[in-house]
Amino acid sequence: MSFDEYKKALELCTYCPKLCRHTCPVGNAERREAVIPQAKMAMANLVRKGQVDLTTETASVFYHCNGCGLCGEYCEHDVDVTPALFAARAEAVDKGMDLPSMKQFTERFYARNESLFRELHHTIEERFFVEEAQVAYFPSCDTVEHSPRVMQDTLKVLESVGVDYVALHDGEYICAGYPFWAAGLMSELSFLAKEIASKLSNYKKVICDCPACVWMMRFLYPQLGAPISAEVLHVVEFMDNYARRIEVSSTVPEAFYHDPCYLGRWLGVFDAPRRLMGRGVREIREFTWNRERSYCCGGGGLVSDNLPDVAAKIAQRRLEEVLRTDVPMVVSACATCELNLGRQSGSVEVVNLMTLLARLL
Amino acid sequence: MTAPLTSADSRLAQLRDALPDLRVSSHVTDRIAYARDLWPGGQIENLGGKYAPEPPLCVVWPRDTAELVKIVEWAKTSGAVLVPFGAGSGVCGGTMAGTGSVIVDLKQLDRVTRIEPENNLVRAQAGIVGWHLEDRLNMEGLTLGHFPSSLMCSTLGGYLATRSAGQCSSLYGKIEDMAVSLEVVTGTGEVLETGRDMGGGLGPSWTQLFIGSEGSLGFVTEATLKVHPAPEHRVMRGYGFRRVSAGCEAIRRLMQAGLRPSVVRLYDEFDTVLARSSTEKGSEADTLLDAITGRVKGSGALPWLKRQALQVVLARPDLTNRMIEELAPRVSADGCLCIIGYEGDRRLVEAQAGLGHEELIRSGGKDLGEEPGWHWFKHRYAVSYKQSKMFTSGAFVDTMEVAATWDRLMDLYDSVRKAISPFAFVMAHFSHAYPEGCSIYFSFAGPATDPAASRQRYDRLWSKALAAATRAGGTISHHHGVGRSKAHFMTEEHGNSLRLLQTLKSTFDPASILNPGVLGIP
Amino acid sequence: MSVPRSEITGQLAEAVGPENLSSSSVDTIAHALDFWPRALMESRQGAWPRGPQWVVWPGAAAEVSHVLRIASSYALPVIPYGGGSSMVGGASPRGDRPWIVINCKRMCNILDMDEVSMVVHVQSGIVGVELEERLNARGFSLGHVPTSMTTATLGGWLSTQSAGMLSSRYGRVGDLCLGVTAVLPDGQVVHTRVAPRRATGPELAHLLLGAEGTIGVITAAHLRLHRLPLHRWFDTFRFDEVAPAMDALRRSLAAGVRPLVARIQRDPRLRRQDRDEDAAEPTEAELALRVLLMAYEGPSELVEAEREIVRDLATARGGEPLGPAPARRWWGQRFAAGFRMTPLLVQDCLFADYVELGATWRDLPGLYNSLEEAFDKRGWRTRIAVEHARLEGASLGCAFWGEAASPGLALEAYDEAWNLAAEVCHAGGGGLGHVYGGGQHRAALVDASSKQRLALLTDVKRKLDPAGIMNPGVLGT
Repeated sequence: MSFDEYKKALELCTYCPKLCRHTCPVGNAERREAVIPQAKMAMANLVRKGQVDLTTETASVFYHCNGCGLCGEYCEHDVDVTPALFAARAEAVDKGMDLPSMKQFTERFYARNESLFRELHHTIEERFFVEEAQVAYFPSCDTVEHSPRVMQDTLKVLESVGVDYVALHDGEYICAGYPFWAAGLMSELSFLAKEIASKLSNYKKVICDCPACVWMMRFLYPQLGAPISAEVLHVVEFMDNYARRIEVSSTVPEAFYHDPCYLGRWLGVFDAPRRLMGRGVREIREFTWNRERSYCCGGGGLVSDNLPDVAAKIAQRRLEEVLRTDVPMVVSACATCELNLGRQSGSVEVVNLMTLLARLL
Repeated sequence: MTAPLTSADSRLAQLRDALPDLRVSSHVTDRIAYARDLWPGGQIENLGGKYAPEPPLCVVWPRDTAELVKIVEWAKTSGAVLVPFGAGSGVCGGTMAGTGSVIVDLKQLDRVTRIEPENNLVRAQAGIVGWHLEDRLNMEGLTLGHFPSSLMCSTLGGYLATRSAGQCSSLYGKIEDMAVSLEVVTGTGEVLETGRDMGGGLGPSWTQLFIGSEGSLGFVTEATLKVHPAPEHRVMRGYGFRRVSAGCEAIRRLMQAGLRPSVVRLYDEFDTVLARSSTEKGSEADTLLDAITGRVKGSGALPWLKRQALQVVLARPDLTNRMIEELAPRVSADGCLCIIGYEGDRRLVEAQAGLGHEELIRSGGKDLGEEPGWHWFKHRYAVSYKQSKMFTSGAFVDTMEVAATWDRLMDLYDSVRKAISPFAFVMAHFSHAYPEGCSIYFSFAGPATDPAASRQRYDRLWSKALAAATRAGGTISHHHGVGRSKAHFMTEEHGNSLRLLQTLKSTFDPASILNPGVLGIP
Repeated sequence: MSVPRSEITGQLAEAVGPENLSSSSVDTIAHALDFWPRALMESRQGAWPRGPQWVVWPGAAAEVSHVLRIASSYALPVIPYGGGSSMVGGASPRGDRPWIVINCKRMCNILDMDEVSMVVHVQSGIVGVELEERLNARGFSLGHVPTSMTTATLGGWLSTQSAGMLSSRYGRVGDLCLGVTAVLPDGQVVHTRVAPRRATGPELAHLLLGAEGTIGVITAAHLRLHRLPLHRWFDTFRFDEVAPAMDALRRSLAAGVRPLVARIQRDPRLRRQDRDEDAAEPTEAELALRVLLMAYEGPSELVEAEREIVRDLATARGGEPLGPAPARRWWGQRFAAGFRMTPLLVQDCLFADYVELGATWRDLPGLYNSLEEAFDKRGWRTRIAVEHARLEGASLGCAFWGEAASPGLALEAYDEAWNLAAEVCHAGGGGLGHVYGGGQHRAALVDASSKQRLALLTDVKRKLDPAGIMNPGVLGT
């Protein structure tokens, strides 16, 4: 959608009494009026109407957004802020007014992709290069870069329930392109999507460990003219079919479950991870802000790259509730969440659901 | 639109020199975002292309009380003007001190300092958003009991600055009934604790004198407030009264019967039409627009047609008001809707609900069952979302909340309605009931396709309505505050006791550096 | 400094009428003292104090205004006087200056009775009990019942922000006040607007409530009323010690109970005066017991629920139900406390007074015990009651008395006792001066934080009272 097509949403936000502001992780972390959802949308509107010039300064606030969508849970105007602000970013890029830290984004994306691709093939086991496999495993960039053992653990759990027919996908990419969407680089995204879609359409099912990858492939790719004919699932969705076959030899007394924004709020997957977690954890502790209202870890929307201090504060705020108890563990199902929360969690362990299950088998 | 900073640059440089560790921003996005609150007059200006006509010099974020003191000290010597800012949800222009002002954003002071269930007290900093404070208390099985419709977008400091009220004020009181003591930094740079944890003590209550001062005497940094166990039981019910005057009489009797309901809301004929239509449609985001145009034209879903219909309706509000006055008794056989709620200990709730029910039936109320009560409860924050659609459809909406003792309440209602009717479509509900009186909340909507003309209409409307309110013996604000939009009515409101306010100002802010102009004090 | 007395007398006569002005010894003697025990003791040992130069009885705010203008122009100190029942020297002249005492009791009319809103507009010089009786006659009640009720005036209550026995249900007097009329030192008459609640700036009446006449003279007020109840219920529970009783009371209030009365004290049946002549002396164990006295008003179904809540909470904490009788007995003698001090004060070597302090629930048990112990160690007697219970805490009303070796040493001992009380209070987290006001006595004893707040009063006063005529010397001004 082009910027102008968000007119109605932008207008509604401009005149709104900002009822969603208390939810915005970036707004809360920075405590700055200019970066609450209403103000970001109002700024975009002012730019759209020509009342304010689009400059790097005015455009900067578009990047102070996690893309988490929590504000939408408290909106009765059906406004979806994330795509509107990402479209605003696209406008900024178009006019050369994007953030300095966004320069050369495409080059850096592909450089990272290349190095992680090599990394992936270096670490993952050979047997997953089976040619005739119908089910492909698509690990994400953060998994490969920061927690590669999650891949091993995922495969271990799959094997334990009798699923030994999953193969590593044979494409060249370790990312479905969320960063391009969040950077407003729509034509780069289109190109990448078509490349990935053509490869993955050779499979019957694709299992991703990143919820944002799943969301992109399921919902955004078709809009970009790059539909995938395979069924795209998050590893938790896939694994849920076999939950009852998971047999652990030990259990953990209690742990918090953190709903990743894109798995929970965006894909609507709340119960499957809890069922799986329940196989190994005796008491699942819930955050006060959980399920549809789950608070962001700070990692979305390129905030952890562009505004690392803000991302850190967001993660700290999320973990306050855990640190007030003596529960030693937080479980999640997204490498980005685990990375961001793990950086701020101190002695509390932040662990991927598959890693935990693999540990307890 | 945003004027480049020129002579202001030197003052900014001064500030950065004097307080090098202070977080300061003169970034254009901050100057725009902090230039406004939610004053509907400002929204009309917005429709006319002026989103932030008088942006402040800069925004500062003190990290603690000590840093705030330094800011005040600097302002004293440099003559800068300081404006306290929580979440900018005020509707009276209370934070709009114009270009050259320094906005002091208090949100870095947002911690819950301590919770003392054994004393039924909480100590929290002023910059905390109301919803977050309530969240934190809920985790301990407690509640503050303060539920303004702005709960999600307003701060504790804002409540204390204005004397705010929540929907359950009949049970838990307004914020001034909850606050026990405040920490304040005054305009002289002094840090005061206005009271003790256990109320009482010698001399005048500085707590009651700083609450409501809207940032003109000092900035609140922290407060001790009473808390309650979260209610174990809640009862909600709806009743119908043939005319609003009968309903008013009924709720007076209810409040004077020694009962303590949490929610008492009586909708006049017009407001009932809307409340009932949203119930009938079952739609959560039903708007004034839909309801009016639905009634008037039976128009369907075409947005353009609805907008035209709305303009027609709003262009002659006097006719609309009169027409609905005719319609109203025929609209619903149930009459004026009255919502009553109780919450707390189960035994007390059940006893009171039973007694209250008898009282209301005795007063001629028709029992409408639980459903209307729970419907209101489920959607109680929804009304605030409606204003956006109105503004984007070329209309302005605003509210006026006045209060009076029961003896003059219907007179207040009639006078203010009459004063507003020529300018805008108006409806009202009675809420925040007390044994000695009640508040009336008028909602009105007028055309705004010509923002300049609308602004004139809007200003005249307010002038007439406030004059009518004071003539009828009501107070000009029950809980929104005065800000700048009603400042010119302070003399009518206070008469010569205004001198006491001026004395307070000259004592606590002799240099006039704190939010000058708010409450009508320069 | 010489003052043209006859000139002033003439002007005052003009202001209030010659029959409402007096400098006769009868009147000056009568207005020389209030009920401050220290001053009473002093007067017994030395001379009766000098008293004011003039006593005036204005009949309306306009006359008060005239008097204050005269006082301002000659810089004469003024005391607004109600019943003169101040226990802290707030209503008695001090030092050598020629004082004017403004006795407000001629201004004692009900100006308006709004039965629909249940609000009364009444002048400040009306004696408490008279106001209550006049309201009762019309089926209403104010619900403010301090021990001073039969002697103090509304103006006195408002200027000291008094709390009565029914404060747990009806609040302090400020909670009952919707607006005041007052005369400022330069003679300007101000009215604060009446409304159930407002958001139009600071609640300006609060500059006068609790100011003890240092800012102006309150001449009238609007007060909220309730319907005179037809019935009252009582309950008593006996506890071995005070802490579980306090806990039960706190939880009752947190649950939403609004009792008419809630007190913790010694068993009222043990009072020497009230026991049967041939009854045995109470044992130590009996004396150590504490009772929770409860009284209730309101619709009977609601009261029933409240009583049940309190009963459950009290018995769960070891409270033994004693039925209504002891509480009712206390209610029947609720004004007796006002008569207890005098017999002590008329004995030359004895000293006595009443410490009232407020604290949060967490600090109360500790304060209760440390007060008792500290005084006991010095050989002084105490009787402490827990009263004015609210959501966040309560007051301790501690009557103390002792005997000095000689009349001359009694004053010294009195001061020592107060210093001790202040020390214990501050160390235990309490706040002094909770109910009676500060007058001349308490301001010096309160902690630093309270002193800072009192200093604010002086700051404000300087602007409204540049000549310093309004009750100087009270509240540290």
